[in-house]
Amino acid sequence: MRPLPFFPPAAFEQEREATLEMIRRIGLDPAQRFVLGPAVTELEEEISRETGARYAIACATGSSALALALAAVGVEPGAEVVVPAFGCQPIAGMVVGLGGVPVFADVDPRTLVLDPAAAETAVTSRTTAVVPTHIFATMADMPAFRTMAHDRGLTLVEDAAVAYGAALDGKAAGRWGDAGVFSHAQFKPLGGIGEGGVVVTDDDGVAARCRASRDGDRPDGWSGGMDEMTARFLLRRRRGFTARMRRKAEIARRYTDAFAPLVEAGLLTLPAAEPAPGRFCHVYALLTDRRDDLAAHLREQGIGTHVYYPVPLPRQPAFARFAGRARFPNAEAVGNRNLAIPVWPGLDDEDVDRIIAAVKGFFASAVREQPR
Amino acid sequence: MSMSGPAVDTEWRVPWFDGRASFRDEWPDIAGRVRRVFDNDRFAHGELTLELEEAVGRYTGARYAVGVSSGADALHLALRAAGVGEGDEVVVPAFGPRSSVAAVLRTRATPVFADVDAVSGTLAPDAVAARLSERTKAVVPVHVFARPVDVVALRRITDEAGVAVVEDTMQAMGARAEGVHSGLGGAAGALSFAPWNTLGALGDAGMVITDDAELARRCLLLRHHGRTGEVPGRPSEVSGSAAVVGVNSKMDEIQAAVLLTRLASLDHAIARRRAVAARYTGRLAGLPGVDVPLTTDDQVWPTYVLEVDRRDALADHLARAGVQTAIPCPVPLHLLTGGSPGTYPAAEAASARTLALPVHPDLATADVDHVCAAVALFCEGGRG
Repeated sequence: MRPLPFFPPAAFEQEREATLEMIRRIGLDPAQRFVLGPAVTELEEEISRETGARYAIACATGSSALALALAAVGVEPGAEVVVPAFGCQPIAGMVVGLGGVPVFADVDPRTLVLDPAAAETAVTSRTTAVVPTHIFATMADMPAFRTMAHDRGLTLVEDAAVAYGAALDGKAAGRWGDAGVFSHAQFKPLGGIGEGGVVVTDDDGVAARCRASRDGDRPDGWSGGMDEMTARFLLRRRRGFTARMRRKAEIARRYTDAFAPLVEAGLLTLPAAEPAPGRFCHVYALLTDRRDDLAAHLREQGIGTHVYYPVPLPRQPAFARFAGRARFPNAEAVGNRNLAIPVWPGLDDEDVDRIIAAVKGFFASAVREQPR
Repeated sequence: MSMSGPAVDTEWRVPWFDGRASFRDEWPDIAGRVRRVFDNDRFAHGELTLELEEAVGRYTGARYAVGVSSGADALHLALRAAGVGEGDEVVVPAFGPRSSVAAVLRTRATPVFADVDAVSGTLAPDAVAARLSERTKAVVPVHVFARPVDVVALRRITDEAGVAVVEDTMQAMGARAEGVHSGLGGAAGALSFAPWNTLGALGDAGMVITDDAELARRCLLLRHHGRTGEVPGRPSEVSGSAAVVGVNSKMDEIQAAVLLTRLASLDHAIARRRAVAARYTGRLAGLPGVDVPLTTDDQVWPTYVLEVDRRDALADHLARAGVQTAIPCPVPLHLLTGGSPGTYPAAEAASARTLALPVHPDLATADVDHVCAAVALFCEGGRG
């Protein structure tokens, strides 16, 4: 049986020869533009068109896109920014990098995205911005955050790093706040052959400030543009994007149907099956108290898994000084209980059945082994 | 006014950078390495980045080399790893690249400017001494135009004050002073591999070089979000936790592939740059209103920079002759951040007088002669 790693193996293999030819052409292009050239402009135009955003600004990484967006909406030294306690380091790290203060708020225990009610209680008179992050398969409740931002006079930066192509109420991810951020690193939904990120916005001022900072026109700029080969590759990978996401959604549906009895038996919960607006399929995570045993069981059967964000941001040494005595039980619980299983588009139906059988087999034996 | 001197071909084009001829030769090797990237299936910070770190370590003699996504990031991380942070002061030259100031501002420290030496254009040790305070944490000599800064003289001042020297070597990969590679005279050095540098990628990449194990360890942490213990391809059990607030600064594997190929022929490329620079100097020295750069044996010529009385007029004249030039520091750095004119006279003079000519390794002798003829026409023919 072939091994089924967690991250999609050889996902770009069919692009290999075309990518080599593309790199050769960039090297031999008389214009000799390697960063922020015509391919980057074309990608920015495509992303604007696809998301409906007036402006798209492509930069070196998803993290730098977030930093550009935060600085552009006015996060300055001393400014408080409400961020989720469960997520990747840059959500808090980029705020600190700008001299701001991350204020953590807990996530919804079912959908794992920033809980609007928790975020609201974290707002103070010093709060400048709130940063809901879309997680795994669920967009944050953006209508609620829009209302909150409006009512409390905050700016809203939408962290759509993993949600390129998702939509809520017919409006694209990235379009709900003053600025939205995408990552295009290798394993993101629209992933590239290097690092890359994009800011989208409708606001003239935000766009101009992001561009000035990226292009090094400001002495305090975060700097760093996307390179031409990454942009050219992403333009190419857009072909087939919809089909890949459709296949991932299909696999997710099969998982959800197959695991329904385990959910009913109280052995598992499935964030991707919880009712929530703005569903997409980037990561398919299971929540179970027996996470580590399940991971070991799947590994024995050649199935790779991944634990996301095991330690909540406020408990990591880098950010503990911003957390005070606040507690984040939902972020703790999901950090201890999540296990993501493979959901890459190259899985065939047999692979999916194998993964389903392995998960079910674990819980069947677990049930048998339970003390009477 | 009648035209005198030799006529200049108006159809001739000399771009700032054109590496196509070298790229054609390098392509089979680069393609082979890019295939390895596909085989490894890892496109940022993987096997080729590690291989490049080792190769740059061997080439420069640095004990540690840490690959990052750009030269600007390299300087930023080196400063943070040297302990620079909020409330600190960092002395930088008033004449230099904006990226030096940006790297300091990103650490939340305050840049404090010092004037440059009127002859070399690099940070003047005496000027640095006058700018040190109790809050000074680091001094950033910039090897502007790859003229090695006299780090030994600088360290007599900084060592006594307990201040770290973090060198912004800019494009100066390959430059050595007294056998020590640029960037290794102080706590750490930042290398930039931007496309037109002596060692250039097909995009952005950079590296921190240092002999200090602890400083290197901190750079490793900082470049991956502050995560501890990550081994490429094998995230350790603690990789999900950040020890310090870091950034995402991975080197792209394809850029590492390009750089590995080019590092193997770097000395040859530098020899070509030296030949171009020597031809410029031979033809331009003595022209009225133009000073050719100081030439030392250890220069690697990432740029060839003239000092010119009527700089902007010469730049316009060269543009009309099809020659792309660059103004290295259009605005002195202290004026970008609210300082007053007249504070750093040497930096301000250098900023107003310097003009960089194309000097890449593929530049043909005929191109060099075209540029020289155009400069001579400007200087001697009274045009512009």
